[in-house]
Amino acid sequence: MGKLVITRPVYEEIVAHARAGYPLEVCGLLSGRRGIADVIWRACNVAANPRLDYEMDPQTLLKQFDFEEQGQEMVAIYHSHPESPAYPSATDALRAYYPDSVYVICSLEDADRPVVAAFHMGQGDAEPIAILPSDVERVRGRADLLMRCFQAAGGRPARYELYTVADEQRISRQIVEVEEVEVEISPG
Amino acid sequence: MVTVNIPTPLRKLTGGQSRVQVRGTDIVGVITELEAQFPGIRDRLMDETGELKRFINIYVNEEEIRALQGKATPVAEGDRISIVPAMAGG
Repeated sequence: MGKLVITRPVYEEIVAHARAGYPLEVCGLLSGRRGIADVIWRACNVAANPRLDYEMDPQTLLKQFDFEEQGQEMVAIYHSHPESPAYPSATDALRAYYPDSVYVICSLEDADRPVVAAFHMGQGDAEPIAILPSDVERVRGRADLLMRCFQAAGGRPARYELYTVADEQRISRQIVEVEEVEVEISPG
Repeated sequence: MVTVNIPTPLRKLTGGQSRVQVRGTDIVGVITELEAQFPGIRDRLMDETGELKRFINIYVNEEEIRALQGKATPVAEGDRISIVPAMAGG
């Protein structure tokens, strides 16, 4: 399991941002040096349905290049789950376009006990398939996406099989591996 | 020449370079030049119909090309192009 180090002020700010945005999802970036996230950049969630989705605004997206000019690096991408666990959803897996980055999720499912967890998500290539498996489930809020998930110890998804159906003849499958990353809070 | 900012997911194709210089008069030309220098990069940006993949955003200076002329957006000497996959989920 890899490790992500977050300073205490950044950790508290992730939770504060998630609470400030509730019941909508919030998102942002963490930057730092040598793998330690010590700066947080709140983004705007420009998704069409921010209760269910997040999409980072362009200005914040472009900051990833500014970090490097300033001798820093983009350490993680964070977003909140206002009412679901701190674990990647099928939509998170579908849109994990930064396989080398850490994805941080702050859950407010229990409002009194926020949870911050971190993950790598590795997407395989989408491949056409002929037949949709019979045991797929529809992804909540997504008419075009079905999934199967395979659980690791503890019952949490370790792998998603994502199926998009363009029409009856065009089905594609994409496998996304989910790996949990240990979060260490440093005094900062 | 224009400068192209390369996001981390594509740097394996550019030998680790985060910024490269290419020639081109529009975005299609820039992508063609990138492919010539870094084979395989076009398939990461364009789909099989030759259109930009939905989750790939390209900015000329700080304007996204979908608000301009798409892949036909002209570029000028000294422009900064940024390739930015979406950060999104649910």
